Amino acid sequence: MAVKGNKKKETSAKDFKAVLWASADKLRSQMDAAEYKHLVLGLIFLKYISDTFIEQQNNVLKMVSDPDSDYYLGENSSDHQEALEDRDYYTQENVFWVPVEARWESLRNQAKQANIGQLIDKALVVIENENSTLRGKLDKRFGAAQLEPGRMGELVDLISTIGFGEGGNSADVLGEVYEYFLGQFASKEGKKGGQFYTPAHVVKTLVAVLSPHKGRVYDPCCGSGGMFVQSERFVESHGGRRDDISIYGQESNPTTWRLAAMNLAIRGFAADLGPEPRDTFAKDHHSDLKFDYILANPPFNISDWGGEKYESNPRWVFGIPPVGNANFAWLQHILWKLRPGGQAGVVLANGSLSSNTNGEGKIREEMVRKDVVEVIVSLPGNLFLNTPVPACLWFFTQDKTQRGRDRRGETLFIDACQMGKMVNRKERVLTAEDISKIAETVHSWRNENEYDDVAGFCHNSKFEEIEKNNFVLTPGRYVGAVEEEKDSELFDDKMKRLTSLLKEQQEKGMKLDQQIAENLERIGYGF
Amino acid sequence: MVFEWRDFRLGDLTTWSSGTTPSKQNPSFWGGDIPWISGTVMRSKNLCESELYLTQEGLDNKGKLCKKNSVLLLVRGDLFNRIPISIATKSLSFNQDIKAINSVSDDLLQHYIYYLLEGNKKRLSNIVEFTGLGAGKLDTKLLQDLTFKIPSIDYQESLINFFTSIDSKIELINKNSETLEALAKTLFKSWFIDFDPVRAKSQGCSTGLPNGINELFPDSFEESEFGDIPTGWKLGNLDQIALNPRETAKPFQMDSSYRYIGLEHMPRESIALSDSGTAENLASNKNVFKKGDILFGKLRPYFKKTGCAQFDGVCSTDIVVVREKFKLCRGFICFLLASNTFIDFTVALSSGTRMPRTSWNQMCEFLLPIPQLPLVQIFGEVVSPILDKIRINSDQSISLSSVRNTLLPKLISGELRIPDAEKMLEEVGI
Repeated sequence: MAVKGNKKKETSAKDFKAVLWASADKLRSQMDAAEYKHLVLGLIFLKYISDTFIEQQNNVLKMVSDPDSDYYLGENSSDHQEALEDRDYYTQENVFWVPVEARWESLRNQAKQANIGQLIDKALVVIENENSTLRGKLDKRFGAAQLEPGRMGELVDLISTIGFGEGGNSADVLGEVYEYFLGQFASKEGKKGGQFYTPAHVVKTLVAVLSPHKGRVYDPCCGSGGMFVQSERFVESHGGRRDDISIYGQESNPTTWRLAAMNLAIRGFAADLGPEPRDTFAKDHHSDLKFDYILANPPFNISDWGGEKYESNPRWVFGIPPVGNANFAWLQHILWKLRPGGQAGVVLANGSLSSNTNGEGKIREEMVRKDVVEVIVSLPGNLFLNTPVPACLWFFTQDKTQRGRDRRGETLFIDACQMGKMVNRKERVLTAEDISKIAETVHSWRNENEYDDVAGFCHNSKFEEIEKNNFVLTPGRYVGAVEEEKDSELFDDKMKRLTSLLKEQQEKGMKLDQQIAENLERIGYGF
Repeated sequence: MVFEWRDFRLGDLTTWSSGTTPSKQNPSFWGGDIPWISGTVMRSKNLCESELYLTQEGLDNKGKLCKKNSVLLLVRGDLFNRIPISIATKSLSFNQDIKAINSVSDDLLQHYIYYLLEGNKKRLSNIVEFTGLGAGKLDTKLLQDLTFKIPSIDYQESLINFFTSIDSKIELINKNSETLEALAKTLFKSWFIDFDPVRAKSQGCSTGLPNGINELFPDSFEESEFGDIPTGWKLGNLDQIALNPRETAKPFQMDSSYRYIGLEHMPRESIALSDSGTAENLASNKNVFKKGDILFGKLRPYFKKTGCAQFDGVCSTDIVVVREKFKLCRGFICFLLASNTFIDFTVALSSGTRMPRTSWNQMCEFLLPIPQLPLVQIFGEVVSPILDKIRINSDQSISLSSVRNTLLPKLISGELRIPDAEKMLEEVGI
């Protein structure tokens, strides 16, 4: 019964997000989605910090006016009001300080004014000035936005409806909406959307296999921070606490870097995304750190990554990556940043599994020889908005004796090409069942409990077998063919159906032949 | 197994060679009479024609010929959707994405290679790899390393005969449709474009037609801006006998129970419409059609995509739906829209250079002498069983193909014996 109720709530939440999205999209009219994204997400963020502030204010008021509370300040309401302005009450709860003029309510009251854009920019400036952690991370582009007149005000009104009347958890709702909108904008932007957003189901697959629960989590090309959100979610859903993991990221695109900062702030995660947006190869913001978990979806096959500048870099333990393709530079950077015993999961173009150009094959061979490749999963096509090219997941570890049995010299191959379902003509999604099937396969293989090779799906390979295949890591080569349908009953049924259909068609055909002959005779062309 | 099947590595029994592409920049290499095969034309079992032909000079310049009866296998291209395998029924040239495979062993009949690969498509699709460009490739070494259980030469022979009989039957059915279509088109042209019966009557000759039909034709011509036309036939256009319903369905109004016809489902130069998809996940508006409507592909009309709908459904907005205004006009409309005269007219008018399209309005600018309704209806009556038979034929070739594809893996692996399979087919007299 309880479960049923839960489900209902879930769908209504989804509907509400969809309705909200439709309304927001309507207001966009002619504006480019890529530009519009920053306005909408910026407003959601603004509402979020304002709401959490007000919520904390109410808590403080409750505390200071409650005779049973340690914070009780007596009955004088002017004392109460004074307390409400005391910042310590907020900072100790990780709540951003929002000055009066920047609070949502005051903006909303001015939503109909022509200069609302400028007012919002001003509000963002004061928020940044009051909260050092947000400095430089809020996009102040509302005044200059090319929205049709009055639209900005309508947008403010629309965002006002989020979290309203949700009974104190408006922050969670706003966080969800933020994430949902990120995904929707990524779809809208299509090709470009993939640059800042990895579909949630792909991230969940990485997270489910890695199961991060404690330590440092890192993403060297973090986009809008989806990897972190799902990692935290995983920790919490497995009974852990938010601060069991600490988050480190880097992102080179300035606007994306800001999206990530807001995305994490809105979730209440403390994260270190470095002092500014920077290219990871040019400057590693976390050069003194190694990590327990690394999750990444680097841009595929980047040809202008500046490889010629880094040829002597100590990171290239397995061989110098080609100047014309950054895939193996990313993989090696990630391996370089792993702590002994740490694990990494990387989404990459399928070509990385079999390419032999410019020494990539050699690097891959070296990775297998040094035994750092733990699991390879090939994914179905159409998972990504920006490319129909199928991708794969690489899982690394430098110590195959931990987290299960001794697996040295072994690699697990999973072929998930047939998984997922199309949600529209362009997008395929891995279902919750698909994800848990992949994760459970990996976990049972690690622990040797009831793991068996399944033809066409998974296969445990020894080093010699990979060597025999010239270090090509395409799972299809190892997992073999799908077991043929052994069910003769099925085959019989099919044959019976087909043969009776044929019989029927032939009879009809004969009747028609006769009719045709008669008709031809009628016009003087009898056979 | 009652008889001996032995394991063989494919590469041990066969030789493999790749084709080439002589320079496309050099016009003197192309336009000859040596078919040059690429993946796009590998759409049938037997290949002896192509869309591109090499000259002898082109062949001498890096071209490559395969032997007659070579089995051709596409090893690079869109292999995720289909893996084309064909037999070269004569010596022809082919490109570098194709391997020509020939038996060099007394243990393997040449023709058997074709059915061996066809019957093991699942295994082939399991080793398709991705190239960087989203295309697939089949690694030659992996292919040659495949081992197969192969029966005695005698049994190979029987298997080849067994499947060839089904394949020939499919071919025969398709030929039958082609014949019927050509026949109806000929009749249409004779009656309504060349006016043969009218001409015969005006010269006092017999039309060879029975009275009931004969008297529907006038016996003289009258002048028109179009030259001479049969007396009493009015110059008019399509919308006197047909209409364009213009009923659209929005994406959320359609579900998987709707059948969908896109341009990709319509064959070129054939009125058979048997293929269709489902309307699930359609993201844009579609045209609604009813059983019996004529569908006309308006994008690049020179592809000659005209067909007669056999069910209710929705179609691409690049397909014009044409409906008869009076009963029994369907046949006339169908063969008018499929006639070269009409197609040439729409091609000349269609707008856009890269993706020319015509429209219902343009189609209605085509002027033709329209006979009185009874004659139009008589024609419709005569060709109606032809349309039906063509449809039954395409349904039948689909069912035969499914029978073949269901039996192939079972028989090629030895799981099912020929006598059992023959019995199944005998029951329905194939």
